[in-house]
Amino acid sequence: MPVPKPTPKPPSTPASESARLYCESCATLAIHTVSYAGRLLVSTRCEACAAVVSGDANEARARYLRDLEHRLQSKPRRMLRQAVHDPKGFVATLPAKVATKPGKLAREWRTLFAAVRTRGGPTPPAG
Amino acid sequence: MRSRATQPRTGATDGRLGHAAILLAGGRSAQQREGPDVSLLPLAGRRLVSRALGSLTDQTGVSHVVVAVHETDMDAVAAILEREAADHSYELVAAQLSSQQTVLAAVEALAHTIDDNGFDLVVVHDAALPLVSPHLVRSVVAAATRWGAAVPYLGLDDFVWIDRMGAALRFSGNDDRVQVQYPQAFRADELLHAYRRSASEGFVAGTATEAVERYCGRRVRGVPGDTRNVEIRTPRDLFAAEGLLATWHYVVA
Repeated sequence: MPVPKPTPKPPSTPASESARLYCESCATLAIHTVSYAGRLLVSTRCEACAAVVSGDANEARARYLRDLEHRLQSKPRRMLRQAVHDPKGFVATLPAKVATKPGKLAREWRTLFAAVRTRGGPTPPAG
Repeated sequence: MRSRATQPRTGATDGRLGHAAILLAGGRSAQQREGPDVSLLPLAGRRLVSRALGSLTDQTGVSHVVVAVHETDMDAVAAILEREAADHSYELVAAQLSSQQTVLAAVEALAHTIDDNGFDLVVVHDAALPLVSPHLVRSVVAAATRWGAAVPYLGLDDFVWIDRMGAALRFSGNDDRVQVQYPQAFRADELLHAYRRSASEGFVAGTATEAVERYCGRRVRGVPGDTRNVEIRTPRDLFAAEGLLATWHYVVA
């Protein structure tokens, strides 16, 4: 049996992650890809049977907007904390973070709207 | 075993260190498997493992946590806790071939301090239950401080004794079954003794409760559990947990 690869160090704000979850569709413990918009869950996809689970799309959008507002409000405090904790790292990474932020927000929106098309609980396996 | 360069902190005013905790973060078994453990997933901006660790140490008297992790998740969990739980005292141990051996490895990591009367209780929790409230941890700790061992349960309304097969015995003598939850708390010296004896005799204990009852003669006290202390096994559990967090404004109290 092949030795599993080490889990990579996860980023602080992922667009998607994978983990072992019990799939109610194919009744197995399988790797699932879990998609996020910002800090919030959008959908999960079973890699064994392709079943997708997502929450209510309208509710997800409303919660995302509330969360985005909270993230914007708390951003100065979080930036200050990082600047105090790691001044060099803060200065070194700030330009890249500013440059990539619009793209990151656009990806979050795309993820959120993609989930609208697949909402409604587990879907049957493809093929 | 990997250890952060933190020393267990004093958690009580009488010079003792207070309580320790064992947090099973995919460390119930070291059997080979694909993919990261669920405890590494983020939920509302914070990973399940650090959420659980935060609740275990939130004014509960728990001053040091041993996190049992599958070898393949070790670096990932170390990075997560460094980022999200840097102000906590914890160490990582590798999961063993069975859950019993994993708990033994974790409690052995505490053995030196336990032998020096540094910890009086050990709280055992599973990171797949990240919404555990500090209030529930405090209830279990309070009951274990008084009775020597305590577990939370769902299904009955009053305090009960629980035997090692999971049957709850009311004081009236009724014999109803209950659902036992994490976290569970035990006298530290008894937990260490029970797991060492189990290992030396080759006895396979299904739970810590069973080991402590068998080798220490300790009857485990049941305290009312919490239906919101959900175990995350399925995608729907993840969404339900996030929904609960949203109703609490993302603060577990």
